Amino acid sequence: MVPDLCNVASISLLVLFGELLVLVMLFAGGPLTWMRLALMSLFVQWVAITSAGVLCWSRRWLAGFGVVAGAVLGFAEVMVVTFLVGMAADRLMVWGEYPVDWTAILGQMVISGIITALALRYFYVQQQLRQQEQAELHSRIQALQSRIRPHFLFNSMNIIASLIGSDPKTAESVVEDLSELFRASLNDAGNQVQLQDELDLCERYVRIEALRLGDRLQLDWQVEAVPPGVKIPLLTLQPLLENAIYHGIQPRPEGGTITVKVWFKDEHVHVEIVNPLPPETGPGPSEGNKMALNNIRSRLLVLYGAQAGLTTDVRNGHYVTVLRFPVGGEHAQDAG
Amino acid sequence: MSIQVLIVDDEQLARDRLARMVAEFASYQVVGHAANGIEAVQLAVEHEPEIVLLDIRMPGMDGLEAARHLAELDEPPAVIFCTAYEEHAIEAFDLQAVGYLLKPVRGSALEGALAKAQRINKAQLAALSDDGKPRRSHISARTRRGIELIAVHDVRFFQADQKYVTVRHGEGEIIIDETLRELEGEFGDAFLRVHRNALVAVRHIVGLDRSGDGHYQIRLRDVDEAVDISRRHVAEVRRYIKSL
Repeated sequence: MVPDLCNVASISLLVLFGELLVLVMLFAGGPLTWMRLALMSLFVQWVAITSAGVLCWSRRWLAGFGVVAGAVLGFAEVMVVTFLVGMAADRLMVWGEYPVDWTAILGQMVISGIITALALRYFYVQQQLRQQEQAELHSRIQALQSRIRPHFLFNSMNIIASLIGSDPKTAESVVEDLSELFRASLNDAGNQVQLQDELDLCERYVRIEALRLGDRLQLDWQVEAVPPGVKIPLLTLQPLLENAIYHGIQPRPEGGTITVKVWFKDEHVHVEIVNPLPPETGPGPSEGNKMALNNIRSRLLVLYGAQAGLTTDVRNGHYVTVLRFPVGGEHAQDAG
Repeated sequence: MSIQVLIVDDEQLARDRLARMVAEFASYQVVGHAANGIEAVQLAVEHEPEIVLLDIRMPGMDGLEAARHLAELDEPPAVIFCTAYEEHAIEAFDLQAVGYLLKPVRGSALEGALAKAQRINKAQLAALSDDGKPRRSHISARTRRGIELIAVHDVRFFQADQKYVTVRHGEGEIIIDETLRELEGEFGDAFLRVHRNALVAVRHIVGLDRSGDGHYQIRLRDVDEAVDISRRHVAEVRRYIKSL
């Protein structure tokens, strides 16, 4: 819980804060002279920067003591620094055999102690807040994690039951594909996987659905080369494909073709899924579709901020879903 | 003589499995396979099965609607619904004491359901439909050949006279035993009331005509006869057509 003072930004803030403290003390009483300002500044900055240095140097060691002991030891370090700097200043300021001004040194240590205690408290609260934010972020992603539809589970089980007698080899591969999909859906939410892995998962999913829908389901994969190492949140494409099948193919007695295009442009990966519209006679656009889309949208927002997007459109009698996300890392997760 | 069973499911593998299971029971015989509700009704007319194993989720016409049309037959078959996962439907089935099977179907459950299979009456069907989508995709009428199905989007207009309603569609007309009020309630905004005795399909409206004596008529796509608009409905119909 010891604050990280080992970087330029923190030190700059510390210097600024020290000067503000000097101004407070300057105006609180005593003569207003440049000399006093200079001497007080020198003293405060000396204490502040030396303390920062000591805390930075001993940070690892202090971290081993836990929150309370670490804070007490850190506090003690600052007190020792204040005392030593105070003594040094006392000796430097006066030439000759004057006695040490113990009242002044005690005053310095009281001020330094109060400020240090306040600062430690501030860092502690800030850290708690950040941990809480992280936990909330994580649980939000967990809640948004795509779940395998129960319908799909039971349909797949039915397929396996049908195939076991007539075509055990295919039944076996359905069990394998299904297991992969379930492993993915149980995986830690918000996990990023290689784009190719997600595409493989989609293919496994489509293989199962193809057994169910037969000739009615046709797929046209147009996957362009994407830079290696491109990652995507797990189970982002699969639900889009699932939507395309459930709403675009299944309600049509004649079935249709789903086109999946993947391409890379302007540091963003684009995925386009095109499926035929359901027939007019069928049930209207389902709420489930919107829910799945909103779910993916929220997940993208948490992970990438405004850099990613998911849009849907009706074009030439087809339903077009376009997913776009940046190649370089996440957005919100870096904050911690 | 064995009991005849019709199997209806849009998935080939599901049909195969049910057929295989039914074939194992000595007293039952599979007489046909249908891939959707429309085929189911046609095959039911053709084969007159005693029991229909009916999947709920199918493209074109779903199982619940197919059951409604099957109930119109002279000798309606007993119906057992099959579903993979349909919470609402299952509640309704239990409530209405309608037979159903959960996929993947167990052999023992299938045997039990076949033994207890019974016809579903209209009251039960109405209760099932009210729960989900009350709107049919097809209108059915009993004809000499059994049952005729007309897709609702193919209907040009409904016209009532005395006791029956005439359904004019792209290729002819049929007579059904329903009231305009019921039809209007079911299909709502897809049809427009133009006369006390007529509902016209909004999607097929071509234009308005004014005859010599000041009467308005509405023309519909691909049909020669125009439908009279009553004086009371003229203003409303004109406003509606303008808004299209």
